[in-house]
Amino acid sequence: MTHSEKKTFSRNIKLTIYGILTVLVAGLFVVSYLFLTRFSGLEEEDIHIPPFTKIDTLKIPPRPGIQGVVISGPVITDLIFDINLKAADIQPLDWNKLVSIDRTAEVTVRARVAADGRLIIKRDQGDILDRGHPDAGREIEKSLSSWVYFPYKEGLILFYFNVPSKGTKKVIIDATKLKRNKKVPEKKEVLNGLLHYIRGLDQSEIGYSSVTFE
Amino acid sequence: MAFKPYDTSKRKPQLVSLIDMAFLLLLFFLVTSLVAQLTQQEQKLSIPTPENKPGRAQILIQFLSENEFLYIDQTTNSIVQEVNDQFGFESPGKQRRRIVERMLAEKKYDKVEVNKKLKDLKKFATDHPDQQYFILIRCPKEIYYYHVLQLVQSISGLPNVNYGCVGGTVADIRNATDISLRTEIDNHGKKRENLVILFPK
Repeated sequence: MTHSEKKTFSRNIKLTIYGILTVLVAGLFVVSYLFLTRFSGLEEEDIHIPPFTKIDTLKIPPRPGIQGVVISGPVITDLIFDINLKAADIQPLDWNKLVSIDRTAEVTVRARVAADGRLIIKRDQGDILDRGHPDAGREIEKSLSSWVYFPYKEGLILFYFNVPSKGTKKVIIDATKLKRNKKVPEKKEVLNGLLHYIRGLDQSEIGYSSVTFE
Repeated sequence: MAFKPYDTSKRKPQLVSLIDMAFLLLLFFLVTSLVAQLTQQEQKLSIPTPENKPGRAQILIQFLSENEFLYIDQTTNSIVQEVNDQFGFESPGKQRRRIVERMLAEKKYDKVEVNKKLKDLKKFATDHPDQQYFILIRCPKEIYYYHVLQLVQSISGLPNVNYGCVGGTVADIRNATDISLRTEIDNHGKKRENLVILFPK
C-alpha cells in the first residue's frame, strides 16, 4: 500500500466513523421525538406549545369568596311592547285604501290599551276626531279596533293620521301616556317595539312624538 | 528546537466525548419530556385559593352531612321571590328564615341525587362549551375532606367547569345577613337576576 493509498484509506475510515456518529445522533433525536409522543402520552399539539399560547392556557381560576356568594341567576330578557301580529282577527290599516277613500283626510284617534293588550276606541266618547273626513275615520277605526298589543303596557295611546302630509310624517304615534302593566315584574324593562300595523306606508313616514288631541 | 511533525494519519475521533455528548442529549430529552408532561398536568390542575369577599358561582353545594347536601342554583331564585312576594310585610330577618327553611325543605339532596345533578351539568357543559360554570363547595370542618374530594372528582375534567372549596356550615346560611335577589349585568352584558347570600362576619 502506497502512502497516498494509506491516506485515502484512513480518510475513508474517518468518514465512516463520523457518518455512523451522525446517524447515531440523528437516531437520538428520533428516539427523543418518539419518547415525547409515544412514551409520555402527549398529544401531537401538546408537544410544541408556542410561548404566546402557553400564557393564554394558564388561566387564573376563579376564586371562591368566604364572605358570601352571588349565585348567577337566569338572564332577564327585556319585554317588547308591540303589536301581536299573531292575534286573531287583527287587521292592518291599508294606507293605499285610506288614500283612495280620502286623500285629504286628517284624523286623530285617542285609544286605550286595555290590560289584556286590546286597543279600545269609543267613538261615542269622542275618541275619533275626523271632522270632514268621516269615511277615512271609520276606515281607521275599523282597523285600529282590531289591533292587539302584548299585555306589557296599558293606558292612553294617540294616533295622528295626516294623509296629504308632505315633508312631515304621515302618521304620528304618541305612546308617552302608556304605563307598565302592573302584572309585569318590576325587574323586567318594557321597551316599545312596533306600535302599528299599517301596510303600504314607508316606515320613515311614521313618527313617534307627542300628539295633541283637541 | 525541532518540533515533531504533526501526523494527521494518527488523528482519531474523540469517541469518549461524543458518547458523553450523546448520553447528555438523551438525558436532556428524557428530562424535558417529563417536565413537558408535568406542565401539561399542572395546567389542568386548578387550586383556586379563597378570597376574603363574596365570591361568585353558578352553583353552591353546602355539605349538611356526609351524605346530605344543600344544592343552590338559579332555580332557588323562585323560592326567594315567592317568600318576598308573600311575606314582604315581615321583617327581613323573618323572611330570610323562611327562605332558608324552604331551601332546606326543597333543595336538600343526598349524594346519589347530587352526583346525578352534577353528571347532568357536565353533560350540558360538554354540549355548551361557551358556558362557564363555577361550583362553590362549602364543607364544615367536622366532615372529612375525602368526601369533598369525591365530589370534586365528579366535577373535574371539563375546561368550562371550575370549582372552589371553602369551609363553612349551613349555620352561615341560616344566619346570613342578606339573602336577596339582585339585578346585575354579567360579563357578556346580559342582565341577570342573581341570588346574593352574605354570611355573617
